[in-house]
Amino acid sequence: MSTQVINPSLLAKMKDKRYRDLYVASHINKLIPFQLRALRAARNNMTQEELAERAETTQSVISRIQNKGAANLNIKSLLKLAAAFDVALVVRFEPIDRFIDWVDDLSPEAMSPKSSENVLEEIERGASEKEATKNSLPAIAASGNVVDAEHLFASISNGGVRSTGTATQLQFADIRLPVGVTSISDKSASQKRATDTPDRYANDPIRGGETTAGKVLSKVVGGQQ
Amino acid sequence: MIMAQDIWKFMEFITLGGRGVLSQWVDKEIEMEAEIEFHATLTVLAVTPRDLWTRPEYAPFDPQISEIRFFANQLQHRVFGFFLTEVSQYVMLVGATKKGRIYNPREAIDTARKRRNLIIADRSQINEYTGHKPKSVS
Repeated sequence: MSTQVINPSLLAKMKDKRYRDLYVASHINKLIPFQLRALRAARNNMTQEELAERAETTQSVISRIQNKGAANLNIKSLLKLAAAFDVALVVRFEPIDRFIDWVDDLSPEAMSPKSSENVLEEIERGASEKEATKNSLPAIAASGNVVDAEHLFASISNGGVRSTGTATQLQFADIRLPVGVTSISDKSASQKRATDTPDRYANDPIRGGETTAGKVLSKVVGGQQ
Repeated sequence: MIMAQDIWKFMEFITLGGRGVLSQWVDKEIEMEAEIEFHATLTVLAVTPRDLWTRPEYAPFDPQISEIRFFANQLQHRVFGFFLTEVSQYVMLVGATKKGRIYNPREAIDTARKRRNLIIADRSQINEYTGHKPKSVS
């Protein structure tokens, strides 16, 4: 399996403290203006004038940051820019490898974060969906009706797991599981699976262990690992 | 974590002796500060769509070649190159510093044009340049 490691040439150069210091300064100076451009583009191509107005500054200041870099920006100005985009500002001291991770991740998701308003709405929506799932699962199980595995897995992934019903309730339910997943009532098959399952899947909650469904359901019913 | 997907791969002209001209320029000709500034510039351009390659980092030079631009150690630096858009590559041909209207090396622009013609005829004379990449695959 391939993994990402720090470029060996960069690693060697980083041993020189002056190199490290310049590396951090230069990348901050370039990446903040780059992120400003990415954020403006992601916010319906916000113009420099619009950004300036929101950040209580002038268009020439925005232009200067984008053309000359962020070296002379102070935290107060950065906070105003963050507020203009409705995002948080993180300024903290980090080890160099974390800094390199940051330099390495210039994906659109990293460079143009969602507005705080959107993020909070999503959190709120997620919380109410979780609550709805939590309330519906025990009732379905107790009724003896069919529980669709996809519904069940969705419930699990939404976190509506630990407080749903009891094992007894769920064992009476007919659980339709997708291909490759064993029903909890099919003990012999699950045991065979356990012996056939390669070690590499041992810690995989979907494919490995004693029985996939068993493991997943033990989480559902008991909140155990 | 979703990792950045580079839009552009940077290539460099290699001499008949097999040496990358930009790697050599970075290692032998320019100061540490310029090297870092150059690599930071490439890092940003690698993920920037073509239509957003603009000043201060980039400018067309003539219909054939363009320049990557950066400033370090009180000197303007230029890397002349051109796009191979069909393979999402930017080919770097020669690096130079600029004082007023004088380039160092003086023949940088002629060299860039000649090398471009060579590459158009035979693409085997380029290699990927990876000096700016913070991570590599092991």
